[in-house]
Amino acid sequence: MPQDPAQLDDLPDPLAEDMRQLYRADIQPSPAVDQAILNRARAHIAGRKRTLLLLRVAGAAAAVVLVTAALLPSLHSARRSARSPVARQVQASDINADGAVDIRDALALQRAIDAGRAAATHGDITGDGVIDKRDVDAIAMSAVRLDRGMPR
Amino acid sequence: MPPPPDPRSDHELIAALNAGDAAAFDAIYYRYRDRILRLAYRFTANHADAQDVLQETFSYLYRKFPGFRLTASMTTFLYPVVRNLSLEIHRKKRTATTTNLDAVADLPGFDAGDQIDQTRADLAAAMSNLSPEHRQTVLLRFVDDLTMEEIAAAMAVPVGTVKSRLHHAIAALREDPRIRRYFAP
Repeated sequence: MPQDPAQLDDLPDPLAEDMRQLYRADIQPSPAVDQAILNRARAHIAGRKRTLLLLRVAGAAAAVVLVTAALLPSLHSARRSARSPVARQVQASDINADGAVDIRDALALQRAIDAGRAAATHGDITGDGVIDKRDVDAIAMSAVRLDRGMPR
Repeated sequence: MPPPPDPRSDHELIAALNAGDAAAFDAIYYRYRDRILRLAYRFTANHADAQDVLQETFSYLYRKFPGFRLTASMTTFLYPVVRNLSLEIHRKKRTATTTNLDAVADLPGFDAGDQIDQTRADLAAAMSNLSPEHRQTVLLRFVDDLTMEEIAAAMAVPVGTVKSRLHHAIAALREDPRIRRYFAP
């Protein structure tokens, strides 16, 4: 009687059992080997986690730097343009061109007006198109103000 | 002392490891340690070498994290690693890797102090007569309980080749007079 083909590719149970007992060697690694493997694995995985975290932080920092670098010129430009009327005012107020705006500039502008040289100066502080006593008063007021509101 | 078995699946443990949970590695380690050591011992027939293979296998595994994706079962992923590392040790040491009678005599239960079981000694002798490919196929199937598909993946051969090897290996065992009694009706 021919054997079942499926049985031809299977082992009798006693043989499979003896094979398992023979080859399933009951060997154990030493505890030191266990610890060495696990410690190295933990160190590696924790290290990679730290590296990833650092990379993320560094990436975020780099992104902030890039965004700042991209925005800085326009911020600076905006600030400069916001500041420019004042800067122009400071420049206009520095009549004696000594780099400082003080009461001497008011006196210099007064003399220039008195001498008819006002048009040659840059003393239109009020911005009304005329250089006159009101401009002298504006410089004098800003020169004596406690907070020196007119930036130098 | 191994911790209690982790109820999470291999894929869940791998996801935890990829997220940086180093403790998940302990669960993977103790789940596969004995199987890998046994397999390495089958290839190297030497306890110290088997422990070296065990260490190298898990070093290979943990270096894959983060970013490891398991596309097959863990056993089929690990089998070629263990095999190749064992062969590497073999190349270095120039010693026999295939399980032979001498190696079997080193297996626990066959040491000098024990009465050698003649039946199992005959079985070991019959197994040593198989080609390495046939023997490994039989062992993966009946000792490690792998499916045909898992064996094919582990040995990187088609399923048809696994079936053919198994068929020829069992036929050879059936014809071996030393273990004929297992097949007696």
